[in-house]
Amino acid sequence: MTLEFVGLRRRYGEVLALDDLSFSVPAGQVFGFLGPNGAGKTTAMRAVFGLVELDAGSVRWRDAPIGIAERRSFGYMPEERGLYPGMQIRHQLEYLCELHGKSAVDARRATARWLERLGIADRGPDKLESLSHGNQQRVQLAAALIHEPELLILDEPFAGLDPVGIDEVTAILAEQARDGWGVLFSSHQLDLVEDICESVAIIDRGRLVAEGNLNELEQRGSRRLVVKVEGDRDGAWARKIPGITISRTEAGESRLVLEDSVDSQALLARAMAAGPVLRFDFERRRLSEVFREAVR
Amino acid sequence: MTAYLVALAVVLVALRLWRHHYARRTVDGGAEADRPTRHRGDVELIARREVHERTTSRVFRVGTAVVLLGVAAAVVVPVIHKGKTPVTAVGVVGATTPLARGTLRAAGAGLGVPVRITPERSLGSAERALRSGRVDLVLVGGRYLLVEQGFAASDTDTLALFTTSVARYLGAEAALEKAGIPTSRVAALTSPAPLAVLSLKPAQHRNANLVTALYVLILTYVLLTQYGTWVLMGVVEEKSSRVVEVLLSAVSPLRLLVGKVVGIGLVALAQAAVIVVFALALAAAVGSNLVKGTAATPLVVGLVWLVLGYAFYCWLFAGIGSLVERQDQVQSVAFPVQLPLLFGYIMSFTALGASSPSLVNEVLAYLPPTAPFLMPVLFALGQVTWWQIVISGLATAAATIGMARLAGKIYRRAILRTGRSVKLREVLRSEPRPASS
Repeated sequence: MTLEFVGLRRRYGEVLALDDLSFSVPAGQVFGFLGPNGAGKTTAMRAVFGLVELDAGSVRWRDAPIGIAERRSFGYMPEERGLYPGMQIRHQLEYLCELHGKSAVDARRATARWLERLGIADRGPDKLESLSHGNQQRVQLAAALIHEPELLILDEPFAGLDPVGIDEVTAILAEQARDGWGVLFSSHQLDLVEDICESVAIIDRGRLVAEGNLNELEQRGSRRLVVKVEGDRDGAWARKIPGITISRTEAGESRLVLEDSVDSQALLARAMAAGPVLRFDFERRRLSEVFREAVR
Repeated sequence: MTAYLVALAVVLVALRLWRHHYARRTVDGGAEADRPTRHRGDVELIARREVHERTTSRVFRVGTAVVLLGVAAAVVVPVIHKGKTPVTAVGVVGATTPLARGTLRAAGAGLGVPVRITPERSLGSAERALRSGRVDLVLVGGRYLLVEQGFAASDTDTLALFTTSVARYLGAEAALEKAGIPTSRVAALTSPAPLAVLSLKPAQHRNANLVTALYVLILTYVLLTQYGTWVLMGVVEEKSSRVVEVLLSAVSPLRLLVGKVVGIGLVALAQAAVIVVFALALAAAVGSNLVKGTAATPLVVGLVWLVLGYAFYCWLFAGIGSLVERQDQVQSVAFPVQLPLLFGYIMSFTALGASSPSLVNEVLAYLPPTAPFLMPVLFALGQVTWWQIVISGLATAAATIGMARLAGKIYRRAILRTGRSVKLREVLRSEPRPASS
């Protein structure tokens, strides 16, 4: 069960918003969708719901084109948040649930359950506009989840949330994935993405520039090593070794980038020869580094 | 009258029951949870939301109450006013014959004004009475009439008509008496039985129809403008609050639009029906001329055209609404759409005053933007027949389909363009600009 973007292309005048974009979102995991501003993330997410007319390509769900029935089984939180400001919260959640194909009874039950879960059970009869910003965000999230979607698509779900709100949303996304549903979300908060995603896709100028399991992405590329030798201040012992670049030295710790030919055990021996080795540690790349490299 | 009151009661009870049902459904979730429920269609859901949100809003309730108050005033005030029809007071100086008194009263009755005759002692006191307004007219010695302010030939107010009429009859009576005709025969000669008037076609209740046409015309204009604005505001509300993107992820733009105009249309129809039934029931209750002056067929035709007019214009308002970014821009975009409404309304007034329709009005009666105004008026005046109404109705229905398609296209292209107002030209020419990222 996967969501597939297959060769999406969309041009707006001079701007190529989507340029042959292809990648898959597996079910049962939280999938991060990254890219700088204007990279085409929102356009791609809107394409899932038919809100963008594509010049070429298609979005597929379970190996078939997506129709209105499939869309109704998806949950969507657009980048520009919005519900009816003057409508009672429970009425609008019930309405949206029914609009996604649930019966009135199911809609009522789901609304009660989600309001309870989000800690705003007593606010059901209130108008949305009377809620605090944080609670309005909670209702917006409930609106995307109310009909138990099998695929959740969230555009910047963490934007404007306080740490408590972030924890709540994170827990809910993880829970959805654990239940076997697909979760795709876009974000600029890379530390957060690193914490909660198993896989990511990074796009730039409408094109896919990196994709895959986060572990693999972070381990991809040259090996990086942090070494601390007592008495050594600037990594002088390593300077002459072929295939090694010192990227940075700080507080007696040297960060080395190793070419494939370098034997780490031989390197350890050289370090020990220079003095007692206090640290000898392979380092993974941070997602932010993967991101910067990909969109450079 | 009983029928009107019963109809009003039925409408009110139905509304009450429906609201009670809805309230119970939304408040008491568990009680009926075991009852099997079906999933409602999306258009029905959208329409239901519109009906519920509108009928429970304070703006709607206050607005309806204000309209009903206005209608009540329009019905009741003329009745009260009629009860105080001013008496025409005629002062008499010198002796008057019973014939002259009878003539004065008969002239008053002809104009629908009661006449009070009071003797005046002298010409001087009669003049004072005239100046003070105690009397309107003085008959002096059966020889001449005296009024405070002279009349122009074009004056058509009741006193002027009464005075000229009295002057003519009294003059004729004086001439006949002078010619030696006995007094007993003079009355018969001055008010003879009129000749019978036969006709090739039966009489039309032109006045009743005219009054109905006028009411229907005003109602059509006011309600079309109001309900069109509701549709416009409804679209703007969803766009400016951005909820529309959530909705469009589950419903197609056209179905969303259809649900909206149907829902608002149902509220509009119910409100229009309540207004009409209320007006007729109240008129019957207070004995207003409104009921006597209301012809059933033109009223029904007018209401059918109100529905057709709404069907045509609602799309226009909806399409235009999708171009607007904020609520405060509504007035400026609504104005161009309201112009054809205003034009049809004004042209219909010119038709009301004419004995036969002008060529322009005849053409306008077949054009969908103006037909909802012109057709009911021309029909009420007996200037068009059924088949002409049907042809014009079909033309409007066909144009409505075209208008719905165009509005759907504008809506689909413009509704997700946010950040600024969208120009109609841009929408018709091009595809949406990219999303923000």
